[in-house]
Amino acid sequence: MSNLNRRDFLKLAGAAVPAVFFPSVVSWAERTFQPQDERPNIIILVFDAMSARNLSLYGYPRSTSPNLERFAERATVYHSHYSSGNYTIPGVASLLTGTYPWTHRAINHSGIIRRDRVEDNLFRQFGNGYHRLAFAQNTWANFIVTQFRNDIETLLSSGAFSEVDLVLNSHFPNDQNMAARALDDFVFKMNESPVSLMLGPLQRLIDYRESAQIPSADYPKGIPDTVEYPVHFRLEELFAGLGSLVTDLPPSSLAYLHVYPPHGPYRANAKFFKKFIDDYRPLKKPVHRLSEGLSNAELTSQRRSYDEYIAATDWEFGKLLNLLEDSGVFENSYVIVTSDHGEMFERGEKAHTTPLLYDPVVHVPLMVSAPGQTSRRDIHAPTNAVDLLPTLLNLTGKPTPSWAEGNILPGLGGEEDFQRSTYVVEAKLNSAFTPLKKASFALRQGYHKLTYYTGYETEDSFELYDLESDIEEMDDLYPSLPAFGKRMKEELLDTISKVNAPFEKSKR
Amino acid sequence: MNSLSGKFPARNQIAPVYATAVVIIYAWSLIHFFWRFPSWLYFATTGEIAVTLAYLFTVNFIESGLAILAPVGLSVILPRRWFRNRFVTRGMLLVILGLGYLAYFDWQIQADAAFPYALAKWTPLIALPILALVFLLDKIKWLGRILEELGDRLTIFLYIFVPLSALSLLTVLVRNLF
Repeated sequence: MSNLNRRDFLKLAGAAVPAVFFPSVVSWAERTFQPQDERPNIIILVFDAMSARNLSLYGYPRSTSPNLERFAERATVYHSHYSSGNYTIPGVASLLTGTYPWTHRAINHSGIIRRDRVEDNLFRQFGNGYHRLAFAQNTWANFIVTQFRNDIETLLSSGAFSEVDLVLNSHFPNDQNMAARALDDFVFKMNESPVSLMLGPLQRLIDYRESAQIPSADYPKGIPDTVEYPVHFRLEELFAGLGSLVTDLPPSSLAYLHVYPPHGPYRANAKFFKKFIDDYRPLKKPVHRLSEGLSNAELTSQRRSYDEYIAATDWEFGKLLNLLEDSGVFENSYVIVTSDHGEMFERGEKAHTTPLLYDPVVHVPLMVSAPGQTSRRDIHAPTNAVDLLPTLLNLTGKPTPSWAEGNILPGLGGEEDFQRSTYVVEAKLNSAFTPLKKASFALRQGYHKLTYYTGYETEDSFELYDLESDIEEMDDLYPSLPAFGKRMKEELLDTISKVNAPFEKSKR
Repeated sequence: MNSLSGKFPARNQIAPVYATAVVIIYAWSLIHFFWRFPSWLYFATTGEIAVTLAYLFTVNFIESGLAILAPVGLSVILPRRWFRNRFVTRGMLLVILGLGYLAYFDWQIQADAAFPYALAKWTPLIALPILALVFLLDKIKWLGRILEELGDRLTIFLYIFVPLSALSLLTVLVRNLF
């Protein structure tokens, strides 16, 4: 305010009277007259459905992620980082609210954050002093992001950087969330018979014609799409678009960039297609009673396609990395690379539409590169997606809000704590308005992981693994139930009871 | 201009044909709506479900407007005695057969299956047999009587769907303009 000149004074005085009546004037004034010190940019790059267990970065035998490994050389690498859910809706909601699914309640397919918690989000916490930008290529992630529309200056369409974009919600900026849910997720949803008798088939025809005209010789399985929504894209254009976006960010920006790959359908380009026809044979694991019961042959084939798609995505990430290095973005930015959930190809289950919580579907990458960082640091203590919000706030000098359920990440202001409890919650079959009774829960503490499946058609069950000595989760310790297992069980049941209590009282 | 207005069907002729289109289009969407309804109860509020319905009805309103354009257009283009004088039965037949074909087409579009492009490619040609059927079936006297009776009864739905659609359109406009 010390640099306030006559013109600024007149502008401020002119704004004062209408500001009483129009809150938007207040926000404009805050932004205009706030001292613009050079705060670092925050760039969060989220890969959808990228399991840490399939990255060579974390020891996977196939060389799927050489460029992520290159990025790791200038970052803090978290080795036991977990998503808070096992698919996009809870995963993204936890990441952006710093709360577990039992709190934000975005637990169902197409679900959203409960209304009274929407203001508790990362964008709002950063405030108007930051230029806040979001791009969520996954439409479900976009459902969550559009709930924060009032806290985001630039919200890109899910179809940005795409060859075909027939997503409708971006044409309804004042009611984007409902337009997305009503039009894109219902009336014009792609993977169901059309709801709109006349315009539905027309939309499908346009989508078919436009996507058929895209040259796809370099994509043997066709160019990638977002399955349920009419978006078709090429990896190279997507990442080139992100490159332009990131290098042009204004100072003091918070950018949430959520890309669809390596989410299925796994369509690697020609360079990586069939790259992994090799001798690698993943460990055969028993079929889980809650799985789809797919054959090992099917799972092996799917896993190979997934690995190839990760490698193709990593290649494009490598180009983005070069651009960021050359343009000096790393000098003034925190760059965070993570995922909203993992992917699994074992125990009769593929991908992530599952009640299961084995490590491949919830163990995700997390790397944070601080401004000017040139060396690698490794953190092995368990961390969770809910930790990102308090950490980013801490890095920018803001306090952790009382409602946040995560801790500041070790290495970025927090301490390594192996005894801390972190959770993963999967409850897509449970109402968002009622206590969680049909759900899966995982409690990670130290190297141990206790999983609890409750309310399903089969009997309720616990599983306990020691991930230090049994990373493949083959030896269930629960039947022998050592003392610490019993303690973990009591803690988990007690936590569930506590988080369910408010909903027990006010059943909808 | 006089000859054009003379070929334009009267309001009481348009109403049963429009009602037929409205019933088919809205019923098709409402079946999907109620199929999804239980899952919405899991995470959406009553208000949000109502807004979803508002968007749906707005889309249906546009579709029903498009659907009535075909018989009205034919009525204006063709000689009076070909279509205008038999607007209710021929219009209803055109709407029923046309939307019936679209329902069949939509039924062919299934999850995890390729878009039925071959069928889509031949769709413009389907208009010919549909038109032929419209003129042939209209010769059957008892069918004509049934259609007129049916059309007359279906107009009752206009009293439900048109106000609801107007309200829906208003809802969508208000939510997006302010």
